[in-house]
Amino acid sequence: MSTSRDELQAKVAMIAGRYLDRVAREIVQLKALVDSAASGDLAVVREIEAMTHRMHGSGAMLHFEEISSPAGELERMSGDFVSSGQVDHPRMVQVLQRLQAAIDQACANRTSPSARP
Amino acid sequence: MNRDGLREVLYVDDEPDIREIVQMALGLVDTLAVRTADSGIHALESMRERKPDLVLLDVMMPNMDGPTTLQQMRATPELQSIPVIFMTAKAMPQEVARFRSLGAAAVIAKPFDPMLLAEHVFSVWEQL
Repeated sequence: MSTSRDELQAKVAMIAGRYLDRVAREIVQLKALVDSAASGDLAVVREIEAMTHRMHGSGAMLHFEEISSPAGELERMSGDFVSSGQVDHPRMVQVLQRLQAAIDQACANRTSPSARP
Repeated sequence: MNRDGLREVLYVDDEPDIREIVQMALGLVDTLAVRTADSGIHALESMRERKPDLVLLDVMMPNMDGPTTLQQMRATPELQSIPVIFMTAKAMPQEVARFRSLGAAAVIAKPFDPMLLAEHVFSVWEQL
């Protein structure tokens, strides 16, 4: 075996930590994109779809369902807006706020002493 | 086909975290070499350079998605016989049926258990 099961588990945990760091940075960028999407610019909405697609997929793999779920919702919503050509900005903001709260909570849990093994 | 015939897998996904997990998960099998590509376009280039035994293909990717990549493979004589397994969060029965109708050998649902991925892949391989 070139990778042991223990090594794999340790590496998945390491990737999970890296994921949280990344989404904590990306949510700032995502907020700026959602602000820009108020203009109805579909190119911006496509960027939101791509970014939330990654958050959604990796989040599910790494057991961050609380992040993956609103990210997936924003991804699907963005796809629908691109298809219809109509952007419902208030709905996007609502989901973004839930996503932000989920990321903040996950980061707080990671740094909280009670969350450590 | 049997398990011994599977030597090299190409995993295609635009998400770097998942590429890394799959590479490590399949690395549990020391006889298996795993290459990765971050897009359908790069996957086709990689396959033309060296033909893998099996391709694991994400469905939703920017620029060229999984089904389009498979379509391109099937239209390319030297790549058309390579078996493809789709890996996707869209694994409802009607979606699985659609992927199978496109020529996928199987569909593995995301999220998957990294500890079980290699066994899952081999079980599909053995049925080809």
